[in-house]
Amino acid sequence: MKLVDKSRVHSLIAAVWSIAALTLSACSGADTKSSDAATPEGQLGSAGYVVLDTGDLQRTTTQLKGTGSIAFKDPIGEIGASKSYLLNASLDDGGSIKLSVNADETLKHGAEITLTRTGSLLSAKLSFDGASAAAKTLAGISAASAFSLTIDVHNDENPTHILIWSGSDFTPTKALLESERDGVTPGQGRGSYWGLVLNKATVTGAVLGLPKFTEE
Amino acid sequence: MKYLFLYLRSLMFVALLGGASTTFADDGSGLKTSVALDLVGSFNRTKLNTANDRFDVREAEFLLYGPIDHLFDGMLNVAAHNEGGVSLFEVHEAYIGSSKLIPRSRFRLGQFFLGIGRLNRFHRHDWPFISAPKEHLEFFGAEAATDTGGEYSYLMPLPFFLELTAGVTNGWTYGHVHNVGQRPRVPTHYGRATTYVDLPANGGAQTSLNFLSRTSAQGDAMTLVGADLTAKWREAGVLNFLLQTEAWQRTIKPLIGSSERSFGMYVFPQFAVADQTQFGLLMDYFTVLTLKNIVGAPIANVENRLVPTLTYKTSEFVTLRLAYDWSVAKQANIADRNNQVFQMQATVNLGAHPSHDF
Repeated sequence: MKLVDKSRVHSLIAAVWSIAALTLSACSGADTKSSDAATPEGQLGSAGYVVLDTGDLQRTTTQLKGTGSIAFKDPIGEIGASKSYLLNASLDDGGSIKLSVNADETLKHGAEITLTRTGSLLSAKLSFDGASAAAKTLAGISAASAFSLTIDVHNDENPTHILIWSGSDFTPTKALLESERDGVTPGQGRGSYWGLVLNKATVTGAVLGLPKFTEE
Repeated sequence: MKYLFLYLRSLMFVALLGGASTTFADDGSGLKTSVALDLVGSFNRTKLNTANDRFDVREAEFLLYGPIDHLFDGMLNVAAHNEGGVSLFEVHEAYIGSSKLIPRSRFRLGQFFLGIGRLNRFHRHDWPFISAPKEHLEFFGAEAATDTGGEYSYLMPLPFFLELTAGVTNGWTYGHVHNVGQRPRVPTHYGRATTYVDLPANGGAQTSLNFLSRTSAQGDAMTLVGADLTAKWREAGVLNFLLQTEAWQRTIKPLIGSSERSFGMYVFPQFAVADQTQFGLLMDYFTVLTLKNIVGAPIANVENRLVPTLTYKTSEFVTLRLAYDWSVAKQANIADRNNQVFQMQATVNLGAHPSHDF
């Protein structure tokens, strides 16, 4: 590397970084739309939500019960976020809960994990924009009583990588459902919101957290 | 492919017998072979999350490279990754290229790590720290954005160093993927302008402006703009001081839904505390500039990370590292999410490793 004119090169570097700073420091310019005063809102634990479908939902700060849907107010982070969701729930026979994540404000265009009770069996089905993978029965879970599941949704991968556990061993081999092992997830979420669609269901907890499993 | 792996296995056996500094040219053609092992352990201090609490082979890499004829060079890089507890081999890089065919130019055709930014152009066992900064993870992947296509670099005829690089690749996939993807509406295309300057006291600095864009089959447009800077001061072969930094902004415009703009940057100063020992501190920052709650109100958010890293290099072939990875993610109305992980790494290069640029 031959240096011909140091001052000239220093000027060039300064110019390059100035352009970079100008380019990268563009203000966010976020559009803010006003809240619809008619939209019912509530709180489940510490998480605020808006009601998308009131149905026959009975809502307290400790549970949601019945049929209807809610979207949590706070986003999960970037569109390509990798997160975990702790879900405490119970289902009437034939009932279901759909956890919709990385979705838009109306819970569309996201990853959907639908948990359905048939007798004492609990099955999970993964869907994206109407395309679904085959449902899988979650072994070792009795749907006749309340259950607690931890669901990792890695939307930084394509297709989205989803793992469902019951318990605290968060390795892929211990997952009751592992989308890469049990069938390809048919898509990738395109939003940054999450929520629940209840059908004859009770939810006592829905908590957003860091992913339980990370892969290098 | 079966025969390739048999060949690689035999080469590995010969390499292990031959020792760490052996270079192999099987028939005088100049074909060189190397093996890189990247062993990483991560242990969670708080038992809360992400670390897997074990020491693993993060990557085992086989590299064949050399001149094909008087004009072209070739490279094949095959690496095994841990995917769900199973090590799977995949082609990392496979390309032909030349720096002799066109004056002041070099190009490559095939599959390669896209030639933008700093970290993205290097295999991670050659990084000065163990794990990817947040923005690199989000914008490029755990190691690098890789694809198949063509890349051309031209050294401008100027009295100072200025190299322009442009590339176009298939763009069927981008980032961390497990499928062949779909034909994109606009393939991945990127550019880089790089300059270099000598600095006082045996120093040198390389800095670049970068751009990348792609529109997926679903119509979602993604654009990255960024800058990188690497400065080094060496004395008698010892890297006394290293400063490495990158800043990137990503814009995603989905065909449906709201646009998202994210910004991230890291700074990594590292200084030599002894001839073979260096201490560095990775400072990492990431935020989603356009994050809003469901009723459209802006949501403040930031993820900060500090990673003090101690590096011990017995030679260019063996590197041992210890690091303490502390990060906190803050988002309005959500409890802070802390992560603290102890990390250790051993990287080993067996055989001839090709020289990197600055």
